[in-house]
Amino acid sequence: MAYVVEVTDLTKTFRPEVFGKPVQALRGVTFRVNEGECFGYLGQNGAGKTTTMKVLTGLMTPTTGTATLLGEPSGKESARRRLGYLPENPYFYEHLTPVESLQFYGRLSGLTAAEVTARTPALLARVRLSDAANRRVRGFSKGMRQRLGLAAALVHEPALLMLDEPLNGLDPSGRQLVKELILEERQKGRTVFLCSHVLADVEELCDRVVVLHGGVVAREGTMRQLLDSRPQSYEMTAERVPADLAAMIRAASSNFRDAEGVVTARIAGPVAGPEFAAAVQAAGGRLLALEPERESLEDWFVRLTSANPTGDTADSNVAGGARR
Amino acid sequence: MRDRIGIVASATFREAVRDRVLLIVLAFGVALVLGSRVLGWLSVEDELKMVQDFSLTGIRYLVLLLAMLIGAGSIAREVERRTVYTVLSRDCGRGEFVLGKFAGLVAVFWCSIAGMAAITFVWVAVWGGEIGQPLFLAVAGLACEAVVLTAVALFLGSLSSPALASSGTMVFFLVAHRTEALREMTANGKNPDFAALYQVLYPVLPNLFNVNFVNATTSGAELRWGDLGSGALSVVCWSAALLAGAIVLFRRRQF
Repeated sequence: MAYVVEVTDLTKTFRPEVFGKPVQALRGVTFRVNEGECFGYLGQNGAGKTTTMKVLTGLMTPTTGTATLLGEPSGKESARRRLGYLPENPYFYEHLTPVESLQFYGRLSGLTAAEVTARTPALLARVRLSDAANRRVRGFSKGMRQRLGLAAALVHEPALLMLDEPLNGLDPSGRQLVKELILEERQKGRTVFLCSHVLADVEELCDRVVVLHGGVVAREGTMRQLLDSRPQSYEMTAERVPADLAAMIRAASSNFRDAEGVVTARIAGPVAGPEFAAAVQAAGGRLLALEPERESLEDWFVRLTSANPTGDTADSNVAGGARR
Repeated sequence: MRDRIGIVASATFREAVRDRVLLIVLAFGVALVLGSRVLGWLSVEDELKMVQDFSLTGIRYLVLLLAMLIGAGSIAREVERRTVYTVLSRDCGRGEFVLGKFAGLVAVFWCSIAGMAAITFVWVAVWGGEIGQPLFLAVAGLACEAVVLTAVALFLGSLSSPALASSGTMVFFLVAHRTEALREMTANGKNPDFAALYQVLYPVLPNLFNVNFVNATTSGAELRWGDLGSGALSVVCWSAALLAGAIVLFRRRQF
């Protein structure tokens, strides 16, 4: 099966011009992106996400290893013909208008002037820039630039959409708009490569993720594979709890509160919560609620990175098909 | 390929003509041309000659200023503002990008020269001068200078900072205008080895003297279009070599 993106043993070392130690930004990164999936590329700042994207978009050459886009080596211009790329904090020619910018990027991607002209109004409406269509980009806010960047990435209807921190600096409505756009593109069958450190967004949008840590793939898998589906804790609310049982619950929990006979407690672990709930009911108490709390991607990511802050031994954490 | 060069050139042209720097430099140039009349009054020489000389020299320095202020920083600005990311991640080669920038900048500079030349021609006509072939030839020579200075600015801009590239462009301009004078100097000098070496190097050194018809025009010398030939050829060769160098350097860059 042909992959939309295929990265094999990619390394990138930045050598200082005169003095200093070389910096290894990527150390044998390997992953693949399937057609039609929304793929999340995660990592802390400095993990090597943007370096990987630059290699994939031909802005940088790897030190060793290979990267292909849509079956062609990423350095080839023709490989980028069907790529829509939104860099982090996109900048545009300041004196051009959005209409002129889309004309420029669309034509660079092989469309005719007439084709771009036909697509422009709908595209600008999609990113809510119709009112600013003929204003120079110079006066645009960060959010407007980001939305224009997205329109420019979409103008030639690429097979692969590569987005580097697309939700950076957006207000809540802007974030919602961009998320909707990404979901729409995914529904159309377009492959989306989403690079971000905002984990809640990735969790919401992506089918599968790769976590990069210290320049190596620390984890790879679907959300279900990565996150423990078992509850990590329970939030229990009950009333008429006997005093001895309440003392036991207090000892086993955090956030214990007893307000006018209504006991609320967070009980850690996947088993203790239901056991205490059963005990309350057996002792004649009334169970009002028992809410399981599952690990979010953010909790998981913090756990992973705090256990191994530098990523130096990330090899030992490789799981779920991740390769070095 | 030609399409993409044209697309980059068109965006470069639009971007440059809307930039305030161009307007300021052009306003300065117009003031210089119109101010040539004042110098004519102060000078003991022929007033019309002064108007022509000062106006055409003004255009030459305007071209240098444009190359230094707009041309030299052109690629560096794209890298700094990261517009280059969105361009090079498309189906656009780095060579096409450099050639597009070159074509766009040359178009801007030629339009500026044409505008300034039109003002000069009107000014010369107002003061009783003849708008003939020598004046057109002088302007064509300036247009040739613009081509090679743009290539120099882009070449230096693709390997160094805008400030260094601007300084380098100015050094090239000064040296290329002294190539002929240096030949005479070395020929009349005391060191025959140095004179012989310079003689060998002379054909390949940048030489803007061959496209400089300002003095000949103002002194009323007979000029023909054929006089532009060797100078224009040298400009083409130098520009091609510099652009090839700029493309090689730009291809090696990591962003």
